[in-house]
Amino acid sequence: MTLASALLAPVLGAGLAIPIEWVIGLGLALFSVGILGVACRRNILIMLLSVEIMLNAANVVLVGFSRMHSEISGQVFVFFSMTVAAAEVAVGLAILIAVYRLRRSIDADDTTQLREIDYGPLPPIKLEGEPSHHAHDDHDDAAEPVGAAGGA
Amino acid sequence: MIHALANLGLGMLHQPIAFLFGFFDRAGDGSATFGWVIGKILLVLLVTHVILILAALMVWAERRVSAWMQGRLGPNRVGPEGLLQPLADLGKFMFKEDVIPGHVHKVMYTIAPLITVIPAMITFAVIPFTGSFETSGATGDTFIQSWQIADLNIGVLYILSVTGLGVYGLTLGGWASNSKYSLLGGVRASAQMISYELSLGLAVVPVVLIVSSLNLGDVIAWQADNGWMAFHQPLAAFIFMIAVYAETNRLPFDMPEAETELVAGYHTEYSSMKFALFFMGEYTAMTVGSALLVTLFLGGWTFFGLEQLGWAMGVLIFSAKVLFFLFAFIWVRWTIPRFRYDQLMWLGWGIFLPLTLVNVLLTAGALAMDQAWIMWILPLVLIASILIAAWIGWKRDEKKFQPLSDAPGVIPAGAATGEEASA
Amino acid sequence: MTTALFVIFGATALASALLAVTRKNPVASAMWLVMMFFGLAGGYVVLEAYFVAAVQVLVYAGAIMVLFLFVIMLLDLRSEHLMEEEAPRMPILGVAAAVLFLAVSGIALLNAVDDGMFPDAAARATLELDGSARAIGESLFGTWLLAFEVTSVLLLGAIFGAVILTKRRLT
Repeated sequence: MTLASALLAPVLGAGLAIPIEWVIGLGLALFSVGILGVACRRNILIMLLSVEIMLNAANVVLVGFSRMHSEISGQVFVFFSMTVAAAEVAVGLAILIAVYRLRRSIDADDTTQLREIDYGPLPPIKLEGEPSHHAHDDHDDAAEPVGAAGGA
Repeated sequence: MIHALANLGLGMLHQPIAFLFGFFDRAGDGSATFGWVIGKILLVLLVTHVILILAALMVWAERRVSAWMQGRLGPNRVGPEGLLQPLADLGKFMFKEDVIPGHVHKVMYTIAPLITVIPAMITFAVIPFTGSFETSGATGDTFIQSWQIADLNIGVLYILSVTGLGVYGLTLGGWASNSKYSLLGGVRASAQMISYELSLGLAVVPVVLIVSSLNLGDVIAWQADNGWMAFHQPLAAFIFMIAVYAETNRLPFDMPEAETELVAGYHTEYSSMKFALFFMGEYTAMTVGSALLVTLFLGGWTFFGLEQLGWAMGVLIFSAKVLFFLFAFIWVRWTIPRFRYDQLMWLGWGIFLPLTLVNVLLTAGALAMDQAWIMWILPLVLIASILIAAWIGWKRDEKKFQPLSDAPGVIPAGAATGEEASA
Repeated sequence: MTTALFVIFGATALASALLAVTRKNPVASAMWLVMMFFGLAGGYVVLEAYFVAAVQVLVYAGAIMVLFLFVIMLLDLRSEHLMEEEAPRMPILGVAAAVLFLAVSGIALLNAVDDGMFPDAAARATLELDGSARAIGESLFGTWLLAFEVTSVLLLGAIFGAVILTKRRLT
C-alpha cells in the first residue's frame, strides 16, 4: 500500500517537483532541432514542420515560465502561439500547393525564379507498376478517332 | 411494490460489490491506495472487455437487423439466434492468411488499424456509466466510489481531442496501401472528418456554456436537475448526432468506404485481423458516439428519477440508451441512401457550421441576459431554425431535381393503375 | 516521480523531433511530429497545465497535422521524383547554426542556474498555479481580451490568404 501511495501520490496533485531549468532546456533543444530542420532540409514540407517544432519549443518555455512565476498568462500565450501556428500552417500549405502547381516541385531550391515558367499540365497520379503517363495525356486530348486509338 | 422489489434486487447486487469496493478506496487524505489502483485497473479491464464484446455483438446485430429490415433471415445457425456468429467470424479472421501486399509501406500499413481502434477505446475513460455511491472502507470512513475510470475536469475537451485522432488510422491506412482506391478513401476520410469535427465541437460549446463546466459528471448532474440537454439545445443535439454519423463514416456518410465507387475504400488492401481491427474501430467509434450523445444531451445514466433506485439502475439506463442509438445507426443505414460527396461537404460547411455558430451566439446571448423566460424560448427558436434550414434545403433540391413523374415521357404511376382498373 | 515522467516525455518529444526532421518520407516526418506533440502534451500534463495539454492534442495533433497529411496525400508525394531530395549545398552550416544556438542558449541557461535565478526545490514546492480551463478563460477574456480579438483578425487573414493562394488561377 505504501509503495503504491508513494508512486502515485505525486501524480495526484502534489507541488511542482520538476526543476524549471529542465523545462527551459527542453525548449532550447527543441528549438535547435527546428533550426536544424529549416537549415538542412530542402523539402518545403519538412521546413514547415520544423517551424512547427520551433513554435512548440517556444510553447514549452512559456509553460515553464508560467509555472516558475505562478502566472497563468504564460499559458494564455501558448494559446495565442497555437493560433499563430494554425494560421501559419494554413497559409504555408496554401503557398506550398501554389508552388507545386507552378514548379512541379516542393524543393525550396527550385523556387529561385520570379518569372512564371509554364511546365505544362499537372502530371497525373502515377502508381507503381504503371507505364509512363504520356499515354494518359494522349487519351485526354481525344483528338484522334476511337478506331485509330484502339489500333495503336 | 415494484419500487420495493427493485430496491431489494438491486440491494442484493449492491452489497457484495460495495463490499468489494470497500477495499478499493482512497486513503483518508485523498491519496491513492493500492486497492484503489487495483480497482481502477479492474474497471479499465471491465470496460475494455464490455466494449470489445459489444463491438462483436454489433456485427451480429448489424447483420440480423439488416436482414430483418429486408425480410431475410440473416445469420442464425451458430448458437441461439446466431448469437455465436461473431465468435465464428473471429475464428475465420484469426486463421485467414495475413496478406501484406508487396507495394505497401509496411510500417504504416501495420500500425494504421491500431491507430483506428485505440483513440476510440480511450475515449471511454472519461464517460460516467453510473452515479457514484458511498462505501465504508476498512477504516470505517465513508468514501465516494465512482464508476468512471478518470474523472477529468476537462472531460469534454479530452473527448474532442481524442476523437479527432481517429482520422489518422483511416488516412494512413489509405496512404500506406499505395493503391488508388485506398488513397481516395483515405483522402475522403480525412476531409470529411476534419469538416465534421467543427460541427461536432461547436455543437458541444452551448452545452459547456450552459453547464459552465467541462466535467461530464457536472453535465449529467445539471441535466438531472434541469431536464435533458436535448430539450434545451435541440439544434445542438441534432447536429451532434449527424456529425457523429459522419465522424464514424457510417451511412449515409460512408463515402470513404463506398463499395460501389471505391471497392472498399481505405481498407481495400487489408485482410485477416488487420481488416477486423478496422471494423472493430468503426463499431467502437459508434459506441463512443452513442455514449457521448447520451451523456451530453440525453441525461447520461439518469432517467427522470429512476436512477435513484441504485447505481446498478444507472448502468442499465445508460446501456439501454446507448443500445437504442446503436440500433439507430443500423436503422438509419437502411433508411437513408448515401450522400454525394459534394452534398456531404455542403451539409457540413454550408449548413451545419453556420447553424452551430448561430446556436452558440444565441445561447451565449440568452445566458448573458440571464432571464428565465429566454431559456424557455430558446429551444423553440432552435427548433424553428432546424425547420427553416430543412425547408430551405428542400426548396433548393426541389428546384434542382424534378420528380421522375413530372419528366416528359413518363406516365405517372397513378394514371397507369387507373387505366388498368378501368380496363 | 513527476520529474522522471517529465524526463520520459521530454526525451520522447526530443527524439521524435529529431526523427521528424531527418526522415526522408514526409509522411513519416509528419507522424513523428505527431509523436512529438503527444510527448509535449504529456509534459504539459506533468507540469499541471491541463488545458494547454488538451488543446495541444486538439489543435496540433487533431487539426494541423491532419491538414499536413491531407496536403501530402493531395500532392501524391509517393512519386519518387518528389521524395528524392538532393543534399543541401552546405549541410555543415545548418548543423553549425543549430549547435551554435544550442551552445549559446545552453551557456546562458547554465549561467542563470548558477546565478540562482531559478527556484530551488524548496521554493518550487510553494508554487501554486491553477491550470484549469476556468483560470485560463478568465485571463484570456479579461487581461488579454484585445489580443484575443486581434487573433481572430489574424485567423480571418489566414483564411483569405489560403483561399486566394489555392485558387486555380493566380491572375
